[in-house]
Amino acid sequence: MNNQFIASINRLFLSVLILTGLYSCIDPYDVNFNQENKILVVQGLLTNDIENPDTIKIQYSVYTNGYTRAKPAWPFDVYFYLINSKQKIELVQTGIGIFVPPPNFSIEPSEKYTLNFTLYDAEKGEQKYQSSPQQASITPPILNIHDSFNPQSRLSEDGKKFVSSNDVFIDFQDPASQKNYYLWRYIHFEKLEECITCYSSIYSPYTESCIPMPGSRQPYYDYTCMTMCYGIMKSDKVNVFSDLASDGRLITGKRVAQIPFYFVSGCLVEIQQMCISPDAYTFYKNLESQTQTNGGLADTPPTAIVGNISNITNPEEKIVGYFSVVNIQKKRHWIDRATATGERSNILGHVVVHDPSPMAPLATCKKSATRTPFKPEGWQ
Amino acid sequence: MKTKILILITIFLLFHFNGLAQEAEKQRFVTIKITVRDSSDNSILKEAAVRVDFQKVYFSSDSTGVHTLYLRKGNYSLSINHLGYRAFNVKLSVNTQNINLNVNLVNVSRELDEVVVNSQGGNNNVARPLLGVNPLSIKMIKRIPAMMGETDVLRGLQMLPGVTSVGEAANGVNIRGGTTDQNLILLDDTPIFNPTHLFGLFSIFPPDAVSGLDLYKGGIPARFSGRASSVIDIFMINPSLEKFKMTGGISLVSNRLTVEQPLIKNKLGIMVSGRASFNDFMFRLGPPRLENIKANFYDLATKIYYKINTKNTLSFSGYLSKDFFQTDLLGTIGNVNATSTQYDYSTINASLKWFYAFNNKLNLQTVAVSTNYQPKTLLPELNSNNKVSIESGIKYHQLKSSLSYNTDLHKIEVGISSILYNINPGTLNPGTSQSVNYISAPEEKSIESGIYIEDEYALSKRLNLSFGLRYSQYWAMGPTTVRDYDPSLPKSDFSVIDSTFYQSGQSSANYGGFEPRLALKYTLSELSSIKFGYSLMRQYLQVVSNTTTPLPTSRWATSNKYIKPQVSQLFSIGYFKNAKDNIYEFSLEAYYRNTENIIDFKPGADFLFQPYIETQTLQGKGKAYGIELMLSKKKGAATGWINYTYSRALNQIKIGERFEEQINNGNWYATNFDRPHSFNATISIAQGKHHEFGFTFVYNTGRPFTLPNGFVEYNDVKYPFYLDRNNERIKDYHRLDFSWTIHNPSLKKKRWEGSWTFAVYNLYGRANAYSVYLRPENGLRAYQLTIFGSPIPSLTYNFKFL
Repeated sequence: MNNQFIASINRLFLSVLILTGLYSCIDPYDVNFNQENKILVVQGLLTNDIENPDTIKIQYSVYTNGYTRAKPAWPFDVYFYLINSKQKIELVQTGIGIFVPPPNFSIEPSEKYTLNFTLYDAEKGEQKYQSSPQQASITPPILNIHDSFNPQSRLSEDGKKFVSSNDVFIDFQDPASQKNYYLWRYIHFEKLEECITCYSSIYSPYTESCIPMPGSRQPYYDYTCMTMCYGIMKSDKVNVFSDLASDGRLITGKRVAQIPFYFVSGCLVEIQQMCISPDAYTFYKNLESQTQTNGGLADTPPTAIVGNISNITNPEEKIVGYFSVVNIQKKRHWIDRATATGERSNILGHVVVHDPSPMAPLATCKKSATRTPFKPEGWQ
Repeated sequence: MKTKILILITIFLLFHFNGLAQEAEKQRFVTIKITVRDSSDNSILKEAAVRVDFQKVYFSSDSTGVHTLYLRKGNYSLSINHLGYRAFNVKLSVNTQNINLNVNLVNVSRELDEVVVNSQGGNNNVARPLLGVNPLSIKMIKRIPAMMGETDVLRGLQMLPGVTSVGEAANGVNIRGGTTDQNLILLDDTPIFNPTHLFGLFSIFPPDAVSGLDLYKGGIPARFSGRASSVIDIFMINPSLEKFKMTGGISLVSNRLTVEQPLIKNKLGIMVSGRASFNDFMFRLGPPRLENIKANFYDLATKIYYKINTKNTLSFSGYLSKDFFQTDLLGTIGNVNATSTQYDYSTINASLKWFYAFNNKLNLQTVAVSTNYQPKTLLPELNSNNKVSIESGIKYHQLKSSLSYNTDLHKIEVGISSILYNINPGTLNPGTSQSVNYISAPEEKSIESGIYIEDEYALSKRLNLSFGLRYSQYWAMGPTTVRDYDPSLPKSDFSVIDSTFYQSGQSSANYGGFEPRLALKYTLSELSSIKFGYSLMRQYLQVVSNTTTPLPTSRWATSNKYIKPQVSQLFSIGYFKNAKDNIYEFSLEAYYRNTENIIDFKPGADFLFQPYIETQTLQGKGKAYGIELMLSKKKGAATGWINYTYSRALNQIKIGERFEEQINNGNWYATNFDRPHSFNATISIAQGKHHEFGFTFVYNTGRPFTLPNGFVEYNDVKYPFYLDRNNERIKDYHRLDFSWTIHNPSLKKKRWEGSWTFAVYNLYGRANAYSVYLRPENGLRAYQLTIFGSPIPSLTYNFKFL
């Protein structure tokens, strides 16, 4: 059933419980996650964006003692196989388990691609992995973007109050007479005042990093940026849509992002729209439902988020992740926050505490996945 | 001489004064003479126990059976008891006048309609070759403390062994390891597809219109068919043909009114019963986020009974039920800018029954049935009067006829039945909307027919046999398109290799087979027997749902080329013993059921507007087994029962080696309603004519839920990683309820009689978990949802005008 309907039924159900006498309650439940797991996770898309290709990450996600961490997987012989032209395209390694397509590699609409790699397991020997064949779909362009300030856009992490955001909406024309499944991502740029947070440590301008400071009573200090610095944030929620009910229609006002109210000054958002396969849609929908249950009677039983990568040496292995080939449409939008009022969220996730030392250094803005000293295109 | 005379006078005076003193002492007491008789034949009962103010006990009676007491002036509580009779309690005001009390005690062994008893006699439990049959009168259901004052048939059923549910808000019950849709729920022969109001909080059966029910969870007579697990046969009251009657009640949740009116005295009568909730206003009393919520329901039942002559009777039963909910949380369909989401469910049922008696032994019964269940989801568009709607529905039409022949040796019944199913799996109706398209999944049409014979007769003095044989035949009908899939691939839109179109009137798939039903009883003594039972059931219509309990909007689907009918076989054995004039009943039953073609769904299944449901579903095997012990006291001032059940309900799904073609790697896994240990106790205590106390206690093992096997990080977000379904259990469930009913508080005998019921549900405030789930909160945290976490007091006023 449609996830949104399930959510609304659950909401209604819980409301009815409240109606019937305020006897229902939600309490923390002690669950003994006394489990350990090591799951191979494959992330990444092959897109038509030659200049900024997506990285393909192959690593283990290890869960022990209540913590999840990434563990290098050391894959080798990583390549795309082009089924129609029977070509093997080797991927370029940019880090441990991180790969990009070779420069100037572009996707062909009629071609079918598989992602292939090999891992060495001390007990089982060589393990060969392969994705299901994927073909690029055509994605319609984003026609318009607009935003609107919403003081009750979403619930806070603890679920106790509403948090305001600028909701971002797009319009696009759905192609007629074909089934389309959409996936949206966004990149959000904010101008940062503080460039680094040092936990139980202080910032050293010499090493441009945090150095331990034992005995400090303050759990963290934030350091002001030395130069212009822009934070890069990415969508952390899955947003998928099927054109089942609106095939061929002009889709207007589809919400694709909720940008928290961090500053009174404006910010920049890049919306990425892509059409995915029905199986990929099911995978992302499963992913979405993993974190959207609320215990109501409309909850669906959880299921393993297993995608289209399989171990062809040992088919029993469950691998998380979906390899897709997509046509990506991007559009940037400036949010001026002119109508935003009320309480703001903390961009760092905590109240800013500067190092009280009179000689507190300024921090450099190091280019990374989450920071850039360069003004993003479209910044006003 | 004088001295002698003086001595005699003195002695006389002494005796005289002593006698005077004794007389004077006696005169300070008042004599109470009580004559105790059996109410049925007026025979004198000696040795009755007479209690005064619940303390002293007298066993005095003379040869005529008169008990004489001497009491000082004052007010007393008198209680007169005799073994095997209902106690008589009275308030006595003692003045100067002597009192003669004539007390008629009711022999409890003659009280047939009090509690769990079959209408055909007191020892059916032992005497008839039926297993797994629990008749339940509405009188008893009303004695069970009600949640929020709403007498609830389904909650009453859950006090019986072998009947459980997934929790306090379940849209149906699970019987002997069956799913909710494996129960055939009939209300005066018409099937009920959604048995609850307000998402499972209350059952839809108007309590004043229902006279009772039979639960068949074991030996299911051959006249019933179409479901794999059980039959809940609920019957409405017949209207009074003699005088006007009215009953009703007011509770926090709903108001009720039932009237019975003879139209032609002793020939034609009508009963109309309505119930409606008016509680929207409470949302406005709650937090602001509830202001836009609406939740209401009503139901209306009617029965017309026409006794044409001594041979012909005609009865019509009608039932209408409606639920309406609104939430401001939007469901998104296409690109509708909706202002809210509304849910609107309705059921309209009707049955017409003609009974013709050829003679005392032979009769014919013919019933026409029509049911229309229509759930709708509505999206009112912004700045418009238009509502986009998602509509689905089940139309069910049945014609059945049976011929019964009863002699001292045989109870033979033969019958035929035919059902026409018309299922609308889903239609998106845009109205005037420019945002969405009209979509309609093709209607499913099918026919289920059956022919049966059943008989009950004595093979020998000790051995009785109940035998039934049914043949059922099912046709999936056109117009429909049936696909052919590449057998080497999972069924999906991408594995289609061909398709065939079937015209209207053509059959695209058919199934059928015999359904034997057998029960044997071996009499050990007049009061004990052992029984063996076997039954096979076929189910062609099922709910396809991927939620914890089916929603009112859940998709119903009939069998087709790929959705094979469910076939269940139940083996049961039982020992039955009654004691003390059938006042006490004991039963021990064990059963084993295996079911082929149980239906489950693929990970991420979406049934909305899906015409090819086989691409979303998986079929496998189910097994359930258990032992049920029950002890009941059927008659007397204190009645009730206790029972214990050990049961398991497991499924196995594996149709291929791929991940999406199996659940839990193809291993057996516990169903959502697998609750191994279950204990129920229900006690009702009548204190005189005016006070009645009820207690229920329930204990169940917690139901299974799925705990992640670990967590993974994907795109920098932490997700739980699940491998095994239902690998953990929530904490055990237990609850105590209490009720106190004061009948006719005015103590005056009038046609209008009121009663008040004060009840407390969950007396000791146990916070039973309904579910456990994970929520993103600085990572992921586990929470439990409790539906009723504190005691729920309620006060209900009921009245009757007889």
